[in-house]
Amino acid sequence: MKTKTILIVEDEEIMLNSLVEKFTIEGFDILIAKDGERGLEVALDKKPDLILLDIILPKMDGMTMMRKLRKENNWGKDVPIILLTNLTSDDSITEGVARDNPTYYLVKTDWSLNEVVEKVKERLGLIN
Amino acid sequence: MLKIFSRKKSKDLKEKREVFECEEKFRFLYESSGDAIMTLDPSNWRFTSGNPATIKMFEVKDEKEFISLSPWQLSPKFQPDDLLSEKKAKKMIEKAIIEGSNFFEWMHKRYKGENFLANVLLSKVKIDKKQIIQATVRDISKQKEIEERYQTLVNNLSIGIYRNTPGKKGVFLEATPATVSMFEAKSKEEFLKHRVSDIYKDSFEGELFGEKIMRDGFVKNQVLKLVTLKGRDFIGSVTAVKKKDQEGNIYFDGVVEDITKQKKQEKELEKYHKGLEKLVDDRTKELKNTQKALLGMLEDLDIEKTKIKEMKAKDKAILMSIGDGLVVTDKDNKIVMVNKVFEKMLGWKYTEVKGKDIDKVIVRKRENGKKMPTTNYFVCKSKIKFPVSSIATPIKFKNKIIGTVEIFRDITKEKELDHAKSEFISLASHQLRTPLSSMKWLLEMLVEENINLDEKSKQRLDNIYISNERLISLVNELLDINRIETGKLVINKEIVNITDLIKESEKLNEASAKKKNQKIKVSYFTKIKDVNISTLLFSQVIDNILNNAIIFAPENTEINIGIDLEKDNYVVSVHNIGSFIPKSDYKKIFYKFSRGIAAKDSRVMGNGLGLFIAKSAAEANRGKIWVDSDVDKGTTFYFTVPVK
Repeated sequence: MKTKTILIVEDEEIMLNSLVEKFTIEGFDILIAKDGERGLEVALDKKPDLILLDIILPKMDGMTMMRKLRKENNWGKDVPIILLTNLTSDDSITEGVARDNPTYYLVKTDWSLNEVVEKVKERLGLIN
Repeated sequence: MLKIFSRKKSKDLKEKREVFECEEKFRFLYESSGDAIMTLDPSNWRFTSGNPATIKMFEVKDEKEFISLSPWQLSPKFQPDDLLSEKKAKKMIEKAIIEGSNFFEWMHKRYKGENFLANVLLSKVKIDKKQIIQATVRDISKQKEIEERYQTLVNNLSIGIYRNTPGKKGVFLEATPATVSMFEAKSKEEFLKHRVSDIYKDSFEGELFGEKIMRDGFVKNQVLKLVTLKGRDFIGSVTAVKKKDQEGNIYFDGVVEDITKQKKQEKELEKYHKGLEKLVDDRTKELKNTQKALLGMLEDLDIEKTKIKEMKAKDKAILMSIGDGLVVTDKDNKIVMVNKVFEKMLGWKYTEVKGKDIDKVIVRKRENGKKMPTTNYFVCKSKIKFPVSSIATPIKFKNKIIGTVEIFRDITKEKELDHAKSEFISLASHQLRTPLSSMKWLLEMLVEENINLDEKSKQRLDNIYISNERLISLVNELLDINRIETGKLVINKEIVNITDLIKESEKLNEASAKKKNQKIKVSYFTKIKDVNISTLLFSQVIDNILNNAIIFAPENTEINIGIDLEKDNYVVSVHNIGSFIPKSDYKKIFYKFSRGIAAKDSRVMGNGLGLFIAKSAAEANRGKIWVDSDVDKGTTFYFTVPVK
């Protein structure tokens, strides 16, 4: 089975490290970006299998990045994006989030690392 | 001798001439007299002559016819004194013969005509030594008639006429029958015996009266107190005139009238008048008093009015000066009053909106139309929208609604402050979440790495994890509250069946119930129809309540969830044993950061926000929430969901 590549867009160092460490242990190839602009670049360049996307980011927020990605090309339109954030889904900034069809909208505090991994695996068809 | 002769001759001549003249005179008188003059031969009772007046008076053809008649034919059979005319006439003639003349009244009769009264003068005349009777007859029937009429008049007069002599010792000379009866005398003769002074009640008054007549010649309508011969007093009105007879003796002719009755009537009239006047006076006084009282009342009323006016003005000033906007409408929603703040805030002058429908003046808008809780916005004249807090209350007067009074306040500042607070909470919470989630994941990794830690340290690590989780849930709930309070929570209504939502919650809480060996039972006896509600809000309520029930109920007990239909609402109830809540806390437990006695005693984890969130969510879903608790029977939470 081909190793899956995940792009993690996260500006918070500790969070990013935890995620990188966990997903590395779980056997994923990891791409990282610390702001939205970089995230968009990396995504379009490397075309990862899935993107874990924070919302509040420097330069370009996660919502904008997702919208741009969805509009860019066929790959961008369909790539699974899991929003992993501390914003509540009905905050003004996340308004219209469903339009861009994210796979999941996960609030970080509500999910353990294992559960996040589970969701990713589920989406990539790695479980059953 | 001659001289004597001549004197004698002249004497004869003179006598002759005198006789002639006398005869001429007599003839003239005889022919032209209005009185009937006739001669009668007493020896055979025959007329021997009659002058023209005789012919006319007795209505005969001529002297010849007159002479042919006997005297009896020119008289009625009886005289007024019932004596036979024939007999009486002879007596009268005999008297004339004896005495030389006889004057008397006689009832004559015109030949073939009516009787008439006459004065007759019979004179004995010797002509050529023959004794004849000359009669002069004057028809006095007319005179008599007038006299009689006059007499009747006088007799029937209620006023008495009298004649008296003046002075203190004056006596009555004449008195009419009315005078006689007025003074209660038995007869005229008796009356005439009295002195004038006898009829005065006050002799001095009588004297004055007499003096006045003497001085002025007359006194008219003098009112005098008189007294009758029987001693009865009466009031007389006397008019008297001073007169002189042929010999120059002074006498008074008087007219007296008994005016006692009149006076009495006058007095009575006067009394009546006085009474009337008194009555009128009394009435006037009464009226004046009433008027005075009325005026007093009016004055009082005026004072009261002024007071009321002042009070009204004060009330109005108070209303006008209220720092909040104020608008009063009548029962038809028409504006009848606004205050200064209203004018300032909305930009409408009272004169512009007076009598207008309030809903056409104040345009009310809701915040974004959808979000909860709703904030009202008013649109002012210049189309600027601003948030208001308003209370409209019906004005009840005598149990009738006569209008509404609405006060409103511009809550722009409060809104801003509220917004800032929400922003702060939101920001703080999100900022808190980042380190919390970092800790969460780091702890997770620590535990998973299976590093060599003694049991104590492992336990500590677990406790750190649990504490972190509590912090996370506290932050989450804070955010939830903020979302509900600011209306940021989007209420997406769906057609759902609440039994499905309850099942979901049951599943969610199954694990924790199992830990305490508790059983959750759901039962309902009516068919539950689909409702249009926010599933998110419903779940918030049922999750919180069910979670509480599991936490507070003892182990090995049953938790019962029921659904009932009450009017237009489904009532969801969650019952558990224990966790008694006293009645005084029924309301308090739904406040923010409040924990009931049970919660405090049981040392259960909790942040005092669960029931507050449940309440906020239930109400946002157009429902109610309440609790019922009993020491023995346990505690039941209820919340409603509208059927439609």
